[in-house]
Amino acid sequence: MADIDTVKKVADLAALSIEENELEEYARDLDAIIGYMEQLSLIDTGNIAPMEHIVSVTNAFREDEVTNTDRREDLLKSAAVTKNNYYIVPNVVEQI
Amino acid sequence: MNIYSRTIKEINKMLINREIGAVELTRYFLDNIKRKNKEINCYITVCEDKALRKAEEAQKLIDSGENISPLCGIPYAVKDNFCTENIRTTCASKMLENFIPPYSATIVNKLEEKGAVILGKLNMDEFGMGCSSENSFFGPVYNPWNQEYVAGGSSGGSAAALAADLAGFTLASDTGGSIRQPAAFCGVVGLKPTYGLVSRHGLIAFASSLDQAGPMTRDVTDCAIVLNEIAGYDPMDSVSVRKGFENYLDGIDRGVDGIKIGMPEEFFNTDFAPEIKEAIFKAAEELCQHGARSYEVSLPSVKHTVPCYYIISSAEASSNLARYDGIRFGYRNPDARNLDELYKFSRSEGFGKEVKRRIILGTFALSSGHNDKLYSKALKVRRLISDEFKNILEKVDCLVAPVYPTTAFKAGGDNCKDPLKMYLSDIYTAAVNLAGLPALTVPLGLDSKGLPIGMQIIGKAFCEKLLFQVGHAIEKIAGRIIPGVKS
Amino acid sequence: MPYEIVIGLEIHAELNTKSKIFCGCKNEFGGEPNSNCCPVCLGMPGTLPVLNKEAVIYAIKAGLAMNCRISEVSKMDRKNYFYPDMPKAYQVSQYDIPLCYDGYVEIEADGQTKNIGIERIHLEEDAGKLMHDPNGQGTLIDYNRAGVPLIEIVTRPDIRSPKEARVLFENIKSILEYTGVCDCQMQEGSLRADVNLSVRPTGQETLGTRTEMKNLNSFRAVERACEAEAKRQIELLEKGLKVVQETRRWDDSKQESYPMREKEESLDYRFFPEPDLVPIVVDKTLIKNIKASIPELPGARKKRYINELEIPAYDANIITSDMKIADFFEEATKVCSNYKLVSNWLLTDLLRLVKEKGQDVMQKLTAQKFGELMVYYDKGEISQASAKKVLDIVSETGEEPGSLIERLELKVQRDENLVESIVKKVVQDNPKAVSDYKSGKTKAFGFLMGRVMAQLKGNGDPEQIKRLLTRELKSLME
Repeated sequence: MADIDTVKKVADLAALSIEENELEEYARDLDAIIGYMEQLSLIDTGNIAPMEHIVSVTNAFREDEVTNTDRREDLLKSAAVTKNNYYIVPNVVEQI
Repeated sequence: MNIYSRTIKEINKMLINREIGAVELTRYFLDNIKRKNKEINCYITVCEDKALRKAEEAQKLIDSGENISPLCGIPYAVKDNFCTENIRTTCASKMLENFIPPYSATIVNKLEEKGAVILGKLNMDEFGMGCSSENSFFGPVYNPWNQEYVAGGSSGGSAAALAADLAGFTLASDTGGSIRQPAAFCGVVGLKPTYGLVSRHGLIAFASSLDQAGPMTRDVTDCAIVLNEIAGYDPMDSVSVRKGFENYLDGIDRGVDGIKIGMPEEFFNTDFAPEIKEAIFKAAEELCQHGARSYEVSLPSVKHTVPCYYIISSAEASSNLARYDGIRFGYRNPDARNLDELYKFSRSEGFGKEVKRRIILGTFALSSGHNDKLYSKALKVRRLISDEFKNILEKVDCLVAPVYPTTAFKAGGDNCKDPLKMYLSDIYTAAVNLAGLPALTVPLGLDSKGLPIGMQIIGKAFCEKLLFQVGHAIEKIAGRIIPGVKS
Repeated sequence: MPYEIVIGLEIHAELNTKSKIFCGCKNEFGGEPNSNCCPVCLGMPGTLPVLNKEAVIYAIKAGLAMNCRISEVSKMDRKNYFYPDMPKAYQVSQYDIPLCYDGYVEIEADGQTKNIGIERIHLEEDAGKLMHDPNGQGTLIDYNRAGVPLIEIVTRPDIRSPKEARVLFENIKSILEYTGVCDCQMQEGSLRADVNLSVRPTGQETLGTRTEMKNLNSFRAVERACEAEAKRQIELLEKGLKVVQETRRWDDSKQESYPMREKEESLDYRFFPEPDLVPIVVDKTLIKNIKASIPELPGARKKRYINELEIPAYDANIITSDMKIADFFEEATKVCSNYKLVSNWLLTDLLRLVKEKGQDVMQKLTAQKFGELMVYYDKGEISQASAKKVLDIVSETGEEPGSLIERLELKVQRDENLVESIVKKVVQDNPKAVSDYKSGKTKAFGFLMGRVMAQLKGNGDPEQIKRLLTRELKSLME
């Protein structure tokens, strides 16, 4: 069942921070919803394949062609902060 | 000249007969927006200059005397989750409050090519998550029939703009009922097309395997007209289906003689407003008087719709909305001292509460230890539901069903206080998305509170034509409803 | 206690496509920061991926070249995690159904031939690049590499020594190069390996705890990292300590590895099928066509060189390890059929030139001209010294060896009458040397030969000169 610790853990995984005073409410909602959803486990889905795709389309490919040109100026405008045509984040300690 | 609440078909005729000019028509809508949008709050962004420019271009096309699209010169508006080049696209979220995309959705481009005139962007529930259009960073949308009531959601702005005569038609999207429910609440026609019929490119994703773009219009004929222009294969959307052009107007007034209509007992046995039930039964009866036959049918697995739908849609949403990290676009917390803070502060401040709730739910459903019981299980149940629809629709031509347990509900109430209760109301609409089928909402008059009643017609995949045919027959029986005009 | 080392490799290879995996941006190394980007590879709202057909074909080609089976139906999945180099905060990859599976690559190490199992090869997208801002506090991001198509080749833990790990990596590189799947520019990061390594007491059935070392981008680094990690793990066990399962970073300059800090939750990738992409269905015709496009691979070539051309195994190995050299060899032997000679010259003189002057010399020289030169030399029409001279010049100028030999008058002079007359003249002109020779100073014979050769501008045939000079001196002594 979902409790405050669950919400904290899941929020971390989702890169969200939930205010301390909201944790309980989130936990309560999540618990109620998950509790309700677990009714699915009562359904016998023995040999039913998961429905991973809705349409019967397969092999929707594009040809290997370069169709884009440099639109840096246009695209970088959407970022709140950039530096010398780079996107930027606070220092990432562990470098790749 | 009275152009209040005229259909596309009517306006098109007036434009061609020079009874009105495209610029004059656009000004009419822009004036309406100026007068009424404050109360209804259905527009987030109005692009007056662009609209007038486009209207002038459209008038030139009309004057050229060439064969023009029926949408040429028709002012329309777009739910704010479709990208529009150089026009702010917010998804009704603080996250995208200042996002101006450098590209347009495929269907917006298509309409632009046809000479349709874009008026602006429409309010909605943030990222499409909600059923009242109250979960908006830009404030709630109110129902033009009665402003104490909600317009429905998530495409509340698209429905309200039409009902209030602030656009000639609108574009909306439907993930679990987001076109059909607000259309029902506002007394307009709304189509959720078959998954794969209309391009999703440029539609900001909520749940990719469920999202489908569709039109909202004043009547069924208009709906077919717009679908004619926006449907079709798009190489930019891998799931879009290659199909030849089909004229959805063909046979629209053929009537319902010999049409087999299924009434799913699992829908009609549930608890929903008696006035809606009555109206649907009456409509079905009248269809039968016009030659249709109705059958009680069974879809035993639809009772699992809500858990199945919420697990899949939230799981996909948790992944689709992960890209909002403050780095390349969208809200960025300016004070973050490290990467973790940048992510968490930007996302927590940029997203509203319901969005966060769904991200948490979806992340949980996909996480190790829970995936098997929730997400993977839901995919199997989805196939069960989908197969049942497919089998039933081999036996009958279409199904009729309620859209929502009630007509529009009061705004500002405790609608979102109990999320589970809110989710449960999606039972009639969400199954259709799980099965990828088309469904059309048509109005059935008003209830005792004077609020519109709607019902939906569900069809086989890619059989939108039949939905229009049945919808057109219902429209003839029930008549159109227009706020301020006695039907 | 003796220990056994158990190693598995995960090799990432960027595919040689013109455009990225899901959009029409250039797939190109370098370039101005963020200049090869578009809304799709930046993960902007509303954008959708469309799979590059060529990327699928390359991945299948790599699979077939490594003896893999190809999935009839496979799909793409999302691997969810937050990191600034990953624009969508998920990587589109393949989770439970890879495009290729169950193959092997043959290696020869420490005198033994064995097959290393290939567990799977799957298709995925690369991430952007992070770099420290030299004039500030932040980390800069360049997304030019984001969305470059990659394959990940996962081997079975069949490798038993650092040397085997290196040889396998070398062999896989050659295969990728031969098939044209990857340009294998390791210094640009287009081919890189992660190493999974564990040790166990010899004879023990169960595997020890393994560690992973990431992003090794040279053969040497792989071998050394394996050596060092095996040593580290054995030392821990010898001390009675435990190996911790973790990801470590190899620092090639310091020759040591250290653990990477990693958040525990970041390991929950929440894989699920990518709903924006449809299944990949591979039919027999496609497989047949791709198979037909695969050239003879290094292993097979090597065997053919040894068995049919009688090239020594060592030489065959060096020639086939680099496709450019192998192709060059193949071309040259079409002109000159003395395979052994071509192979010798290629491995000594040509590789020396490549080392001194770079890869360009091969383009200037061309296999055709190299072959022609070998024919002149093989027929004895030019001396070894002249052949080296011609090779040097042609590799600079690209001139035809024939006309160069003509112009510099390098052809060996074999006119019996002419050589004989020169021999006679030299004997006449050098009475001191002749009398020395007569008195038994054999050194004088060499001196006289040198004089004759000098008269012939170095283009004499030593055998012929020797024969004629001996005859002349003999006649004088009678």
